[in-house]
Amino acid sequence: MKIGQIFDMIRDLRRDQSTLDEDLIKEFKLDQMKDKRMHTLSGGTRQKVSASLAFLFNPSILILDEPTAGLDPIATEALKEKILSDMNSNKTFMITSHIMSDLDELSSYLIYIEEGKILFKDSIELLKEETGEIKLGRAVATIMRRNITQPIEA
Amino acid sequence: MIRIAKFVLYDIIRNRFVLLYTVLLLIVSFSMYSLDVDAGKSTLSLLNIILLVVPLVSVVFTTIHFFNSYEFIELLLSQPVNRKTIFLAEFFSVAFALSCAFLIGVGVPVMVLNFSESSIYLILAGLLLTLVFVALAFAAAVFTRDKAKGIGIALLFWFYFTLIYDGLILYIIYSFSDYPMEKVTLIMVSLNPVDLARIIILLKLDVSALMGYTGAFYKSFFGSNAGIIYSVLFLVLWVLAPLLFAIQKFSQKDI
Repeated sequence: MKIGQIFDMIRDLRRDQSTLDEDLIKEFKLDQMKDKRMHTLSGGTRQKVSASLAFLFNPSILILDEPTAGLDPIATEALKEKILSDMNSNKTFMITSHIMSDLDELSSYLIYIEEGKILFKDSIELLKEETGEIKLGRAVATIMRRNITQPIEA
Repeated sequence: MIRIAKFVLYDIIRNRFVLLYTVLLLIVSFSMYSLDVDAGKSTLSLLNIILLVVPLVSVVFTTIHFFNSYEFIELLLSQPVNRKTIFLAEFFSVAFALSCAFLIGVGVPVMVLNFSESSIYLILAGLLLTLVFVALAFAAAVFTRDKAKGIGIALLFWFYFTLIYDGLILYIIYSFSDYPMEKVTLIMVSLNPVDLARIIILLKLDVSALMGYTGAFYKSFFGSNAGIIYSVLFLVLWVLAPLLFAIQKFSQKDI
C-alpha cells in the first residue's frame, strides 16, 4: 500500500470525524511522497506516518510510545513543537521514552517504572527541586541511586 | 467491513498471485477437456486435480496473505474498528478473490465445454472446498504468531485431508471388513471435506462402481436430494467451525 492510500483508508474508516488535523502531514512533507509504498519506507518515515495518523483525528488524549525513535533532528523538533502546541490547546499526552531530554522539554509529571515496579511518581518540578539538579536526566539518576534499596510505594 | 475489504482486495489483486492461479486453472481445465473425447472422463481427471490443487493453493495463499498483512491489521486495530469486522473483512476478501479465480479458471471452461449437472456440482464443490480451506488456514494462522509454524499447521491440514485421512479410512475399512461398515464410513467421510466433495461428484458422474462394495450404499444416500443437502450442509459446517474458532481466537489474541 502507498502512503496516500493508508491515509485515504483511515479517513474513509472514520468518516464521522470532521475536524482533521493535518499539520504533521504537511510538516513531515508526507503529501509529497504519497506514492511511495509502505514496505519500502525507512523506520523514520514509518514513524512519521504513524505520528501523523495518531494526530489526524484530533483526539483529546494521545499515548505515544517512543515518539522520536528513528526520527531525524528536524522531524524530532517538528514533532516536539506539535506536542507542545497541542498541550496548550488542552490535550493530554502520555509519553513513554527513555530519552530524558525529550521528556524534560515535554512533560510535567513523571512516572519511572523499572521491572514493573513504580520507582518514582511525582511532578518533574518537585523532582528537580528535591535533588537540586537542573536537568531531568541527572535528577532521575540521583533519585535512583538514592532509592535503589527501597522503592517508593505509590 | 466493506470499506476495509475494499483495501484488502486491492492489495490481493495487486500481488498477481491470484491472477496466476486463475491462469493455471484455466490451462488445466482446457487441457483436460482437449485430452479426452469423453467429457465424463475429463471431468473426473479435472476433479482429481482440483481436489489437490484448490485446497493447497487456498491454504498456502491464505496463511501467507495473513502473515504479510500483519502490520496492516495492527494499523487497523489502532483505529476504533471492531476486531471481528477486521477479521471478517480479511476472510471475505481472501475467500472472494480465490472463489473468483476458481469460477473463472474452472467454472467458465467447464460450463462452455461440458455443460451438465455434474459440472455444476463440480463448481459448487470447488467453491465450497475453497471456503473450507481458507477458513482452516485462517484458523491455523490466527493460532500462532510464528509465520513458519502457521504455514506448517495449515499445510498439515492439507496433508491430513488429502492424503493421510484416506489412508486411515482404507485401513479401518480393511481391518473391519467382516463387519457392516456402511454407516461408519459415511460418518468418516463426513469428517473430511475433500472426501465429501469427491463423493458428490463421483456419484453424479455415475462411476460409483469404482468405489467398491460401499458404492451402492453411497449411491442410495448421496444420489438422493437428501444426500446432496446433507453433504453441502456438512461442507458449510466445515467452513463455519474453523471460522468461528478463528474469530474467537482473533478477538482475544494478544497482537
